[in-house]
Parts: sequence; C-alpha cells; structure tokens
Amino acid sequence: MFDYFDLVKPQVSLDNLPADQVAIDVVGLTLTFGQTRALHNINMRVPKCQITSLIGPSGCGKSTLLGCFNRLNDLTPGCHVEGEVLINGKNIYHRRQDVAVLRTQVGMVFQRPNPFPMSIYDNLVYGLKIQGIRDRRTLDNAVEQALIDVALWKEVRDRLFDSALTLSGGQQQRLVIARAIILQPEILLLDEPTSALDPISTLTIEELIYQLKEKYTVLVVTHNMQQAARVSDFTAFLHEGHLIEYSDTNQLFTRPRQQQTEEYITGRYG
Amino acid sequence: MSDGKWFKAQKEGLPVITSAALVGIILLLLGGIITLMLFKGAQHFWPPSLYKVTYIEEDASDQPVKTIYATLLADDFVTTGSETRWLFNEARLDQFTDQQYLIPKGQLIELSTPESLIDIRLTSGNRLFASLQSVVFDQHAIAADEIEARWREVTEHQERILDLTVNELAAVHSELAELDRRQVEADAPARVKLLQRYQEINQQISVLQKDIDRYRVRVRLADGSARSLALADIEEYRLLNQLSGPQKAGAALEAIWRFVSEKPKRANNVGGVFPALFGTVVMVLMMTVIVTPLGVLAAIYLNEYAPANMLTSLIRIGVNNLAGVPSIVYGVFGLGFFVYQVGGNIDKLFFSEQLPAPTFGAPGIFWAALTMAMLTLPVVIVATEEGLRRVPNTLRQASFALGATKFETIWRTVIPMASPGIMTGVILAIARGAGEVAPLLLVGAVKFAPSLPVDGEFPYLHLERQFMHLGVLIYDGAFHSNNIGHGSSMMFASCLLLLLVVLSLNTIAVMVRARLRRQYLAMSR
Repeated sequence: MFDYFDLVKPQVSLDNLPADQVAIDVVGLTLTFGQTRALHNINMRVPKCQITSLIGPSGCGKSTLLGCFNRLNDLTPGCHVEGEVLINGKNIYHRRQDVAVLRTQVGMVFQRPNPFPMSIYDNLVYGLKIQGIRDRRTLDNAVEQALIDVALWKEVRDRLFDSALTLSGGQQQRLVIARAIILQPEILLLDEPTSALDPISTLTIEELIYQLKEKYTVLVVTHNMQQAARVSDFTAFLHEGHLIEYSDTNQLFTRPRQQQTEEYITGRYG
Repeated sequence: MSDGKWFKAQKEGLPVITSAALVGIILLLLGGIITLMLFKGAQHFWPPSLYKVTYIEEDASDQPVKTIYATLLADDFVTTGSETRWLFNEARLDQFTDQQYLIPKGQLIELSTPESLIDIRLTSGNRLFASLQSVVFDQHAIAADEIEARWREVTEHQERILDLTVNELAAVHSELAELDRRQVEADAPARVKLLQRYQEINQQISVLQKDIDRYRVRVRLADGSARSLALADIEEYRLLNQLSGPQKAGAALEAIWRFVSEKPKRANNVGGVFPALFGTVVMVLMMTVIVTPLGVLAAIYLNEYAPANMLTSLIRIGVNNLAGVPSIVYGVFGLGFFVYQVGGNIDKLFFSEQLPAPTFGAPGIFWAALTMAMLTLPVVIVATEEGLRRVPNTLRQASFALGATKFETIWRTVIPMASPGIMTGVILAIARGAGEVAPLLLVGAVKFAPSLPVDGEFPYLHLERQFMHLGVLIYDGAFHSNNIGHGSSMMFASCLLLLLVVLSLNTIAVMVRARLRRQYLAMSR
C-alpha cells in the first residue's frame, strides 16, 4: 500500500505563508442558514498546490465550508454569509463577483458520482460548451488531455460516445473529476469523493488526488481520518461550526494542540 | 384445523378475486366498445347483397303485392309476440334520403338476389337501386356487360375535359386578361392567336363532351318503370350480387379509402369524412403546439424559480382544480373571451375594412385550438412538474459547479431530463383534446365547412376558418339523422376513425417518450 504520509513532508509552513502561495484566504467567515449558524468566524489560509483536508464529525460544517469556496451554498434558501473569502486577493462574496465565472475557476466533485445521462464525451465538454467553445478540435484535445490526467483515457477512448452511465462507480468518479479539471480551474473541491466507492476504486482516486496537486490546489472533505492522513499535506479539524485546529497533517495527527482534536482522532469522540 | 386453513385461504383469496373480477368487468366493457365499433363500423364498408323483395302491403287495397329493390338492414329489427319485422333500405333517385321499409316476416312473398341488380351512385350524391338493362350509344343498345369498359372511357374523357379546363383554358384566360389590362388592341396578333387557341380548346372540349353525352344507361326500377341515366353522371356503380368474396373485399377497401379521402355529401350521411378527419388532426396539432410551450414554461417557473411559499401552493392547487372544470365552461370562455373580445378587437384593429363581416371575431379553428389548449394546460403543467421534480438535485448541482447559470442548467440538463414527463403531459393533452366535442361546438367546429383550414391558397393556414370535426360529425349523425340504417352506420364508422386518430396520435407520442426514456434511462439511479 502507498503511504504518502511517510514519503512526503510539506515544504511550506502555514505560519509564515508568503502571499503568493495563498490560494484561498478565509477571513472572519460566518454562515447562517435562516436562524441556524453553521459556521462561526472561520479564519484560514489554504496554501497553493497543496492538498488540504477538512475533517470533523457529521454536521460539523465541513461540507458547508467547502461549499463557500464556489458559492454553491447560495443555492440553499436562507443562506447568509458574513466575512470574506479571498481568491487571488479578490473577495468572491463581493456583489460584483460573477458566480458562474467563479465556478469555472473553482471546480467541485461531489460525494456520489453524478455524471449527466449523456455520452462520456458530452459530459466532458459540458462546461466548455457553456463557455462558448465550439471548435471540434479544441474540444477533442481537451477531452483527451483531461481523460489522460485522470488515467481514464485508456479505458474509455474506444467508447467516448457511449453513455457515461455505463461506466463503473470509480470510473464515473474519475470522469466527473475530469469534467471539473477540463475547465482548468485553480482550485478543486472534493466533497467526500470516495465515500460511495469500493476500496480499490478509493485507492485509485486517492492516487489521482495526490497527482492532481501538481497543477491544482485541492481541498478534500472526508470523514475518513486515515484518508486525510494518507493524502493531505494540511488538515483542518472542524467541530460544531468552529475551526478547532488547522495545521500540518503530520503534526495534527501526531501532536494535536487542542484537546478536542486529540479526542476526535483517537476515536474518543465523533 | 382444516377449517381454519380454509378460512385463511379465503381471507387471502377474497380480495384478490374481488379486485380481479372488477378488472375483468372493465376489460369486458373496453372489449365491448372496441368490438361494437369494429363490427358496426365495418358494416358501413362491406358491400351488402341487393334483394328483390316482393311483399304484401297491408293498407293498399288496389295493388297489394309490391316489389322493391333493397338491402337488408336487419332481419329481426322489431319482434312483437310471434311477429318479426325485417328492415329494408331502398335507395331511389328522386328521394332525398333512402327509403326504409319495415316488413313483417309473414308478409314477405319472395326474396331473391338477381344478378342484374345494380347500386348506382351519382356525382350528385344520390343513390339508386335498380335492375341494369342495357348501355345505350346513340340510341343503339349495346350489351349490358360492356358497362365497365364504357364507363372507363367516359371517366377518362371527363378527366381530359377537367385537365383542359383547369390547365390550358385557365392559362389562356389569364393571358387574355393580362392583354386586357395592358389595353392591347383588339386586332393585335398576340390577341388573335390567343383567341384562336381559346376556340381550339373549346372545340376539343365540346367534342369530348358530345362523345360523353352519347352514352346512357337504361335501368328498370322495382315498380317496372324504365329510366335512362347519363353514364357521365354516374360516379360509381356496383353490380352487388355479382361480386365474389375478394371483389367484395376490394370494394370494402375502396369504400374505406373513399370514406377517409372524400367530402361528405347530402346531409353528411353519405360520402366521406375527409374534412372532419383533417380538421380534427389539424386542430389537435395546433393545440399541441400552443399548449406544450405554455405548460412547460409555467411548470418550469413553478418548480424551478417560484419561492416555496403560500402563493405558489395556492397557484398549484388552482392549476390542479382547473383540470376539473367542465369542458363546456371552457367553450363558453373561449366564445366570450377569445372570439368576441380578442377576435372582435383584432377585427377592429386589422380588418376594419371588412366590418361588420367578422374575420377573427367569429368562431374559427385558431380559437378552437386555443380554447382546447386552455382546457389541456393543467394536464401538461402537472405532468411536466412531476417530470421536473424527478430530475435529481445532484445533477443540477453538477451543472452549477461547472459554471452554468440557472437558465443554462435548466435548458441543458433539467429540460432534457424532464422530457419524458413533458411527453406524458403532451400524450394526456392529445388524448383529452382529440376526444372533446362540447367546447368545439361553441368556438369553431361546424356541421359543414365549405373549405379546409389548410390549403394551397396564401397564407396556406387559415386560422379564422371554421372547420369540421369527427366528434361534431358523430354528434350530428347520432341525433340529427332521420334515417335508421345508413346514417348510424356512418356514425359508427366515424367513431372508429376517431378512435384510430386518437390511438395513432398517442402512439407517436408514446414512441417519442420511450425514445427519450431510453436516452435518460438510469437517471434516477
């Protein structure tokens, strides 16, 4: 088995992160759904081209926090956000922010594979077509590159025009990752990407996530602490809407500074 | 022990038997409808035998024994006590409708099927049963069995005359009119040439016409009197008693073809129903074209955009209740609002030179289609909303996450995936719209329309025209025919046709839906 935990040590430190290495800067983020407060004054800086995982018990707000980075929470009725989320120094909650453009810069993959009931090819070019790209050769090249990036090209190159629903669960999840990265986003949000998959598919996806960090800043929400420890460089622990601890993965799992973190990772809580 | 078992088996069995029995009754009823329509409708087309009926007339004293040529409609039409009455149908040229005879069985003397009996239909729509004597050419009788060849010859001549009149004579006419318009002198060579040509064609026509007029047919009526008919006036004839089985089948097929392709004649109780069939299909298609976008857009607003509050629920309840409004109410609404208000104002604005004669201010096919669209709108909205609700939210999220706006998401993902639901709505709308008659009586369907709503004349689709509808034809045939046999068999045939129209329109829609379903097969997984 791969054990990235031993092989790779993060070279950046969260405490003195240079400004050009910050992918997302969360400043005083508070989010309420109607009367319920889901996130309390979150402050965190996500480093560029690293894998950051968000862990915590169910309902702690980790998926909600992820949804703040591409403003998918806006779709939920009654959602209200205070504070700032800066991407490339610009607040994405500014009223002039074009949400559609933001979402092409911040890709997202969901818990269950959700390919459209179209052909593999049409799934991949969906986002590009919305961008107005119609040139066949450009689309073909982008499709091939995206499929190579997610290591799916060899498996599907002979049946690009078959329905995407004929693929297996793991293949579908890689397809939707390819669908997100074909738009060349800066940031990739993965919301429990392996929770609906079998162990072997999970391993493939984890390998893929690890390779993706060469090009993209990756944020992973996971309920699986081993997975967080295996793949991520940094880990944030959330509890009841509060960011309890955020540090180097290695340090968080070996020398947690907060008692709540320690209780959670040792299995005494959650 | 065994008693308990029996009771338990009964407990299990009784509900199954009861419910299954009810399904059986319903199937029986449905089967009954279809069988009745098929049987009665088919009777309209199958050529009957032509009888020479000799009977004693009760009241007539001077000449009690009478003979008629007639078809047998029923040999047990009325039975009182031991007496059975037979119903015969006699077609006589000078009668407006067929003559019917109710003859007690005991008074029948002779019933035979002579081979010479002939069923003649004239181009005027009149019909005659008689005995064929001979074909006459310039007063010289030729053998009766040459009627086929001669009739063909005459028909060909008639077609030639029609061709000359429509194509050549009309062209010369319009050229002459053009010369008149340009005020070309009377003795200009072009005009002289044209006039010459005009005369030549007229000459040809009159030669052909003379040729045609030389042929006549001599027949003998049942009362023994002779009659002579111009062969050119005969549209169709059949020596019914000489037909073999396959010939009868051929005649039946031809009758079916005539039924669906020809105009009705006389009081809509003979001839074909083509204008009604055409009107029904055009009206339903127009209705579908109107109702689908309206219903789909309304459903999209309700399901995708409208906030989840009291007002939206109220609208939804209102829409559901609209589906239960009696159709005649929609008819009154269509007449009062569409025809008088909207149509009247359109006339005032755009067709004021033709007032007081209404253009759009009178019932017409467009108002009928619009009224039917209103009637079927709730069905489409409800079915579409159901389809939209079934589109998984994860797919909407996937689309948003790829940078699609709400509209792009609805257009590219939600609508294609809800299309089977939309098609369900369209199917229900067609089924309801094609069968509804009551509102149509108020907003544009008529017993007899002189012209079709679609023809080759600009602007091709005449929205303001009144139209004929199969349902209205059936209503008319069912209650307004004083003729027991023929009119009602035509009504059954029309019913059968209406069923077929609804069935085929629905089949097309179901096939489209099946295709869409296959495309989005596993979407709910």
